Amino acid sequence: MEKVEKPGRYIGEEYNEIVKEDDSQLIKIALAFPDLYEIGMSHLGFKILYDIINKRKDSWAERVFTPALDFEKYLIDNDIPLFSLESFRPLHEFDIVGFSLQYEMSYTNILNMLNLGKITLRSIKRDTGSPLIIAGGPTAFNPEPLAEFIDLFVIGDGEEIINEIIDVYKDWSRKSRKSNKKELLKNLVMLEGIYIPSFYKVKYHPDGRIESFLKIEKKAPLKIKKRIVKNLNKTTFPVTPIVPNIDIVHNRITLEIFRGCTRGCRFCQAGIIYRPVRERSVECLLKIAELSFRNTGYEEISLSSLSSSDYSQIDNLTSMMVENYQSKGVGISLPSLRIDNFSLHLANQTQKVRKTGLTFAPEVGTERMSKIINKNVDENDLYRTVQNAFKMGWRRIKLYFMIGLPTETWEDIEGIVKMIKKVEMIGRNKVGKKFSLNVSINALVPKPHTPFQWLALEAEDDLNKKFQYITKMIRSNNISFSFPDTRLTLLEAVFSRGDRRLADVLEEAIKRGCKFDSWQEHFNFKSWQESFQKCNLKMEFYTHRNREKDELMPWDLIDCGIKKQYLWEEWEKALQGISTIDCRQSICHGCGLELVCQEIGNKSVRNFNNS
Amino acid sequence: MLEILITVDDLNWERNENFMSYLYLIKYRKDGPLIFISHLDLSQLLRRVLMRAGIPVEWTQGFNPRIKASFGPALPLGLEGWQEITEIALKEPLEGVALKDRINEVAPNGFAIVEVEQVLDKNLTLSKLLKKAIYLIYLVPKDSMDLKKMVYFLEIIENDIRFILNQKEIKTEKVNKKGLQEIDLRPFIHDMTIFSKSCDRIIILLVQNIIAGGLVNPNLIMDRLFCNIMELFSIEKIIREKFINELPV
Repeated sequence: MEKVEKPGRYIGEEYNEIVKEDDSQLIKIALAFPDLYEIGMSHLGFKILYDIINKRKDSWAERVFTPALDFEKYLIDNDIPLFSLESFRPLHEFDIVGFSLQYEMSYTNILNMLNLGKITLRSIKRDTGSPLIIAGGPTAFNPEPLAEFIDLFVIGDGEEIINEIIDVYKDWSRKSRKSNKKELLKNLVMLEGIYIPSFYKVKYHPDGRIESFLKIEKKAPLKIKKRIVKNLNKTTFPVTPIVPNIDIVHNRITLEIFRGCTRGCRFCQAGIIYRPVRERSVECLLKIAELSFRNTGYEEISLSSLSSSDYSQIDNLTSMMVENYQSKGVGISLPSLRIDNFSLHLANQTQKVRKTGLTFAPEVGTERMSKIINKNVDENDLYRTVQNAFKMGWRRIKLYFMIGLPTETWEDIEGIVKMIKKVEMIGRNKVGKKFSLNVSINALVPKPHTPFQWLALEAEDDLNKKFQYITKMIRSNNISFSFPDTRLTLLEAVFSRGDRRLADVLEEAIKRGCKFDSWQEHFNFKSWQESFQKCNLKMEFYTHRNREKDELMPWDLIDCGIKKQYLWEEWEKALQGISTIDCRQSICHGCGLELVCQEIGNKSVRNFNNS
Repeated sequence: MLEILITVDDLNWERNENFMSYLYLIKYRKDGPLIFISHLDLSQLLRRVLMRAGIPVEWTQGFNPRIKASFGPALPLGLEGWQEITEIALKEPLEGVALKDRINEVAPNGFAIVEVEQVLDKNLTLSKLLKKAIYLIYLVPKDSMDLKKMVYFLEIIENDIRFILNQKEIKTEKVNKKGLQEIDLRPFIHDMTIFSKSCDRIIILLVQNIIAGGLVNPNLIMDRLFCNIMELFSIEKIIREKFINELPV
């Protein structure tokens, strides 16, 4: 073990880890995260499920992460199956294995983990004795690339449905002694928010587009409605999270202040699939914060959400948190801030003394484009905010942009360059040379359930030309610049909007050793190209193709609550450069969630007196 | 084996007459799952444990307040420590036993306080206090050995030890962030003896001098000096048993 890098990843025994007495009656659930310990342990959804399942007396949730290559080799050389951190149980001995689906480029890691855990890859080839393989998370909103490997997908919020799944499982295992897996699936499909891919057949047109979905199980729904937890204040939240012994990516208490976002940025999938907006009350958050702090001793609390300055009580909450925790040496952090002086005021509250850095995401460089993506950032707002930030003492600014957007021209690219240079100039004028500007530019990957889902990915060459142009134009001692490997972007685009036929490619790719694809040092594009070739599929079919309005998408079985028609209208508005104002500040746009909003009391027109 | 020498991290604030904190010398055990935890992660762990226990710690001034604590020489990864040392400053006095119990109640597996002592002489910093460290190195034969064979190897080891202690200098190379560097192991080695022997285990006792606040990773000594037997034996574990304090007269 000493020879393995960071053995702390594999041995468990952290504070707040749950170890139960092993008992054959106990339903054993592996929460599997298809990435390293440091990444998986930083993920809030993972902690929520761990907490909910382990509160039950009849179940035990344990953790399994992807081993790094050196430890993988150790496992294979010694013929040790991939095991859990809590009881060192081999993956194949669990009753249920649940994978967290956070990003498409982790799919090979899922297959690799099944392999290492000695579980047959394809669902139909697995016998009754193997665990039930389930998966959930944002990329489950297009589950199709994994359809052949996963028995069951959970669509939407997991807090309630996880208990329902366990109840059904328990009932089934008692009655049938785990003899008939099909029966179990038939019982589970009755729950809202469950997608069982083997209950549907897909027919394709000769050109590869989908002709139809065929439901082959009577009980299966025609469309799978996502689960929505309506009241976050009444939902359990983990206040005894595990405190890792080694450093992890986000080593802190994460307080989810609200879920959902209605800003309506047209490239953003999270902004659609996590709707509607549901806030936790200040009272509830303060209580969670205090319990979490006492149970962990953490030195940082992050007020997390998709856009934290949009929380209705953010000013109030931030000042109370700072007041409560400053004397205890606990820092408060606010990721995802808007670009305005109000956000700066908030950041200043939390970083009064030590101004670590500010991150802004203007995304685009021209007003025209900002209307197309519906981000609606006024560039003068950015300059004003940056100017004030320098004045107040910040010296590290991070800017996020995106290229490859619909109808993009060189003028838009020039706009980004101008914007970066202007920000740099503001810095120069305010503080001389003692500041750093970190610019990160990504390529748009059109995502399912967004207004851009019909759009083709921009050609690799064009993207690279633009990246190189920007690199050349903004070269400066104060600026550091990063952009992605466009081959990785290409693959992400394939799997984002891929269909079930990609199963063959995935299987082929892991045979060729593909894993940890999002880690530059492990990414092997050549193997991927060979895999596509062998399976007779073309990446371009998935990436560089504009879809027709009525094309049946692989994810059309999944009902995320937002109507396809609404997304299409948004797409048309994008092309016309018409923005859509956040429904919290205007009228209800009828995205499809009206009834849910009514039920939970979300109002469209906000009281403007506060802002 | 990246870091070999790690200096004693003295309390990084002045202990002048106005110093109002209450200082405690804490001896703790680090073993089990925590033997792979780095020194940096351990200081983070201690901070969190103290917070959970609600101990009224003193904070450093500045941008990023830290608890006022200092550590004895870092324990190399993979080693067990039975009486590791840390010193912390509190805002108010607490009874040693209470402090120990409160911390142990909320400590993770592999970390436990053995003893707490209030430091009354504030001039006595850790580097003045800690002079030597005692290690136990457990060797086990890779394949089972009969008594005759074992006696033979014991003699070799004893000879090796005698040879080492007679040397004036023992140069070796170590890899660190600056690249390859030559160091002399000899001044660190105060004494070495066979502490216990049986057919299935030999325990070597090593006493190291703390020089400029640092110690040498015992693995380095083993690799350098016992290369002739290390093909037949493997190191089962290494324990840093305790530090020897030399109080000034």
